[in-house]
Amino acid sequence: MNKPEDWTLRTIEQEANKFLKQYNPGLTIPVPIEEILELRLNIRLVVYPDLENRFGINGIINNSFDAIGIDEHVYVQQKERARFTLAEELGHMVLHREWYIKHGPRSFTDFLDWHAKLDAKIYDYIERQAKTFASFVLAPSSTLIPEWERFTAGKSSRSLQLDQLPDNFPDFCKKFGLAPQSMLLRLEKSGFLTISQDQKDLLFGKRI
Amino acid sequence: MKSQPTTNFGEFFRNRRISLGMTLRSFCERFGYDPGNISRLERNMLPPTVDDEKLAGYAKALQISKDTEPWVTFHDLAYIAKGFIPKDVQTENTMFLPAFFRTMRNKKMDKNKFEELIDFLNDSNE
Repeated sequence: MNKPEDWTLRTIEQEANKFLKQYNPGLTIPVPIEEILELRLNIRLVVYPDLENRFGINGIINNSFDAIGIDEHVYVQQKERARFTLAEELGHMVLHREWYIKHGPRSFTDFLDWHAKLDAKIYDYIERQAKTFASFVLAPSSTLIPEWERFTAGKSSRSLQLDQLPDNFPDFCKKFGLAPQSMLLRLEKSGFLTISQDQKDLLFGKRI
Repeated sequence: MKSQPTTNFGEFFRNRRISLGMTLRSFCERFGYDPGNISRLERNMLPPTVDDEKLAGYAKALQISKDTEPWVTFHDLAYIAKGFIPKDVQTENTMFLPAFFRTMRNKKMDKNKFEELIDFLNDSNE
């Protein structure tokens, strides 16, 4: 069992690949994440109206890891974002479930205190790791790399600056069912794209 | 298709949908239902309609043939569920208690807001 601070980019990618080998062996893209979640893993999908407006939350997984909640507007109106959110929650299930069972709250009364006491740094790791897992699941290297090579065939280098992205980048994202913002971060993770901090602040807001 | 043993309308509904290989999205897109409402129905947070025509519509979507055993069960459960008050029967085991959740800016939530969130996640009126 890994503690949140033990996961690395490499081990998260390994877990994502293991997950795909089991649930999407044909490496279909876009990865049928909702089918995997509901039909293969039998996880209950719960759609909540106003979850994001009221709590700033777009996705949530329960403490028995058998139900995932999602904001209704995101689910209905922003399909690509919803796919990423659901994959993130599955990331918690894969990466953090065992740790949570061992170190999480022991009782209902302990529940609120545990969350209040959870170290902010650990919380941050946990959320970033789930996001990383999602990006590796939805855009696995084995599919992303050849697609990226095709996409950048006319360029002198495979590694681009943000402003060198071809205009049809949204079409590239669509192949994976990913929102462009999520794809930008995925490409950066694999060293295919360089995004300056100023550009990140502009694109994603501060603190990415 | 053989029905799975079930205790309530929402569970019965969801089991049928899943056994037909339909995700919430594909089911709602195909039959023109609202995902939020179907989700609440499946969690027993929204009492089902007992309007015969609407129930028959659900039954058709779930491939439940008229006058079969699942048809009877489906209707019986709908009538039982009509008088069902979810909050009263919820226990710690059936509540949605969050383990992890992603806020917009990866910020932790304070305890009061967290309590409010738990109420929200388990409130049948939401």
